Amino acid sequence: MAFGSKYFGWLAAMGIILAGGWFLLPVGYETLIQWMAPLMGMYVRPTLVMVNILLVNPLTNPVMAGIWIGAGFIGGVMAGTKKGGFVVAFVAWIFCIGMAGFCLIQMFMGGVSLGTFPPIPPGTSLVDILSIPVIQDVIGGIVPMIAGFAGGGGGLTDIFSMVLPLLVWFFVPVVLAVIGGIIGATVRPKE
Amino acid sequence: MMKNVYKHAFVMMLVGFLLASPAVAAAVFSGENYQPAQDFEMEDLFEKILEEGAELVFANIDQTGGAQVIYGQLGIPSDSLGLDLPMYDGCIVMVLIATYGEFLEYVFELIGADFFGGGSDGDIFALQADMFSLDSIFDMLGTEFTLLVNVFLNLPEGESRSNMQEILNHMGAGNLGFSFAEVFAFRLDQSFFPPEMEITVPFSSLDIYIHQVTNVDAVSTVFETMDASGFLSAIDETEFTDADAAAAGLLAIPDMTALVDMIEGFNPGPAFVTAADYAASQFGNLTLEGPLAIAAVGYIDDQVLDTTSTQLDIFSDLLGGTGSVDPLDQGLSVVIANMPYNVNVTDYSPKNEGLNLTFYDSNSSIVFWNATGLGSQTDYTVYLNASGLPPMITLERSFNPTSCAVGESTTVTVTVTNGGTEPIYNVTLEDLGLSTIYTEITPSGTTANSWPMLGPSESQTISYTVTFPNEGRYTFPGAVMTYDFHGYTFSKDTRKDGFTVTSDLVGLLSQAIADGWPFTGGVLGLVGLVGIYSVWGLVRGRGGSEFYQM
Repeated sequence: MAFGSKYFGWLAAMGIILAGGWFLLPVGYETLIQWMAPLMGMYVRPTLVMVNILLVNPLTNPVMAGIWIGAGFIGGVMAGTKKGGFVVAFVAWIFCIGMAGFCLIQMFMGGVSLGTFPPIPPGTSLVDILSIPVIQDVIGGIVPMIAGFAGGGGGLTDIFSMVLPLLVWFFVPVVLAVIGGIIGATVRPKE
Repeated sequence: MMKNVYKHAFVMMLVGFLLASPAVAAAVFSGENYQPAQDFEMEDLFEKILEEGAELVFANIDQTGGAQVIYGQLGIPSDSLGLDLPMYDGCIVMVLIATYGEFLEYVFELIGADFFGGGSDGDIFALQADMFSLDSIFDMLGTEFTLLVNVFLNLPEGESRSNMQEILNHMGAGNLGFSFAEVFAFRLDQSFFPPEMEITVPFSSLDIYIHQVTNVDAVSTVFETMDASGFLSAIDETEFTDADAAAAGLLAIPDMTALVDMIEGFNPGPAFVTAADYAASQFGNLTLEGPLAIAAVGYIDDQVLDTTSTQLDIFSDLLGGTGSVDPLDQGLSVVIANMPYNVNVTDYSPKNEGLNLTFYDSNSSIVFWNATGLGSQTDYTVYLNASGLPPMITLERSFNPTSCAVGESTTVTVTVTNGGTEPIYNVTLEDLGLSTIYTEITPSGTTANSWPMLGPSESQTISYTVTFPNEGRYTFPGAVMTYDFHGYTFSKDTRKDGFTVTSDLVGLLSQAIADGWPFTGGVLGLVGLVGIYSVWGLVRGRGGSEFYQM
C-alpha cells in the first residue's frame, strides 16, 4: 500500500497544482496567450501555465505559493509518512519541470518562425503583460543592473545578481511543497 | 492624397492645447477678469488662469469631414481628488492617462512621425535588423491602456508607499471607483548610481509608482474629476466613450510650490538656451501655491460633414449637447473651431468682433469664441460651404459570428456606402491585413475589389471567410478604401479589430495531447499503468492493515 498511497498522493498533488496554475492564471499571462497563441499554437497556454506554476515569488504571487503548500499538504496526508510526503512533493515538482520542458519544445516545434511576433491585440497593451508577477520581479532586478552597466559594471556579479532571484523562485515551489507534504504527513500519519 | 496635408497644424493644437489655451484666451479675451490682449503678459495670465481656472473646447474637422474634439479644464482641482489631504504629502505630481481605440496611432500619424507605418498598419513584426522600426515597436507595445503615475519626492520609502496606498484607497471604491494593479514601483536615490558614475542626484529620493486601472472606463471617470459648472453641463459624455478612439488625461499637482522648487533644483542657473528655457523660467517665478489640476478628454470619430453640409453646431453636432451652453461660473471658457482648407467658412455665430469677444482667422480657418464674455448660448455655430468635402462615405466591417471556437470560422464583410448626393470614382477596397500577420491563415473569398464608380445611396461589399487553427485574439488591421472625388484622392479605413477565438479545457488538452503524440501517449500510458497497478494493490488488499490516524 505504501507505493499506492504515494501514487495517489502524487496524483492529487498534481491535480491541485495543475488546476490552480490553470484556473488562477494572472491576467497578464492571459494577455500574453491572446497575443501569442494565434501564431505559436495551442501549447502557448500550457507552457505559460507551467511557468506560472514553476516560477513563484511568494511575496508577489502568494496564491501560487499557497497552492504548492496545499498540494504538498494533501499529498503528504495521503502518503501518510514524512518520507512519503517528501517524495510526493519532490516528484510532483520534477514532473512539472518535465511538463514545462515538453510544452516548451512542443511550442517551438509547432511551426513557429522565431523572431516574428504579431501586433498586440486591440484592447490590450504591454502594460497588461507587465502585471505578471514574475515579469515585475525581473524588471525590478534589471533596472538597478542597468545603472550598474552604465557605471562600468555589468560583470558576472551583476548578471548573477539578476539570475539569483530566478533561481530562488524556481526552487521555492519544491521547498513549499515539501514543507506542506511533511506537515500533511505529520497531521495525519498512518498508524 | 489629401488626407495628411493639414495634419501638422491640427496636431500642434491637439498635443499642445493646454499650453495654447492661455495664449488663445489672452488673444480673444477683452475684459471682465483678465487683461486685454494688447497688455498680455504670459506670467500674469498663466497665474490668473491657473488660479481661477479655464476650460476649452477645441473642435477640428479634417479634409475628409472627420471630427476630432478635445475638451479640457485647466487649473481647476476637483474636490473628488482631495489634493489637499495629507496623503499627498511629498507627491509632486500625479498623472492619469487613458487611451482606447487607435487614438495614439492617430496622433502619431498626424504628427507625421508615421510610427505606425501608415498603410502598412499591422505588418508583422520582424526582428531582422533591416525591418526593425518604430512602427513595429508600437505595434508590439500596444497603445490602449489606463495608467496612474505618482511621483513622490524626498520621502522615506515606507512613507511614500503608505501615502500611495492611501491615494489608491481614496480613488477607489469610495470616490472614483477605480481598482488598481501595480505595474511598476521604482525608487531613485543616490545609492542607485554606482560611485564610479560620479552622479549626484539633486534630491534625497524620488519614488515613482505606476498602477494600471483595471475596472472602469477612465475616459468617463476623468469627466467626474472636472468642474461641472461650465461647458460640461452641455456635453454628453457618450460622444467620447462611443467614439472610434478616445483618450483622457489628468495631471494633478498637489503642491505647486514643491514642484517649482524641484524644477529650480534641477536647473539653478539662468542660462536660457532656448525659448522653452525662458518660458520655464517664467513659470518658475509664479507665486502659485497649493494644488493644481489639468484634465482633458478627446475623441476622434468618423465623418460628420460632407458636400451638402452648410453649418456645424459645435455642441449639438460634436458634443451631444441639447440645452444651453454656459461658461464657467468663475474662470475663462473658450471655444475654438478649426476647419479644413477645402471648406469655406461663410459666417459664424455668435459673433461679436466689435467687443473682441470673437475672432476669425481666415488664413488658418480658425474661429475663436470667448464664451465667458458671450455668456449663455444655445450653441456655437460655423456656417460653411463644404462643396470641397467628399460625400458622406461610410466604411464598415462586421464579423459573423463575432467570436468562435478553435477550428471554426467567421465571415468577414466589409461594406462601403455612398450616403451622399454625388458619385465617387475609382473606388478600391482592400482587407488584406490578416494574412500578412498570420501567414498560416488563408482567407477564402474576396479580400479586395475595385469599382469604377459608386453612385449616391449605393453600396459595395467584399466578403471572405476565415478559419482559425489556434486560440487567441487575432488582430484584423483596418480595411482600406480609396476613391476619387472632384480630382482629389481620398482614403478611409476601418478601425483595427480584434477577434477572439476561444478554447475549452477539454478541447485544448485533447489537441495538445494529439499534437504531442506519441510522447504524450507514452506519459499518459505510464501514469495509467501505475494507477492500475495501485488500484490492483488495493483490490488485493495489500496493506489493508494500514489506516490513517484521525
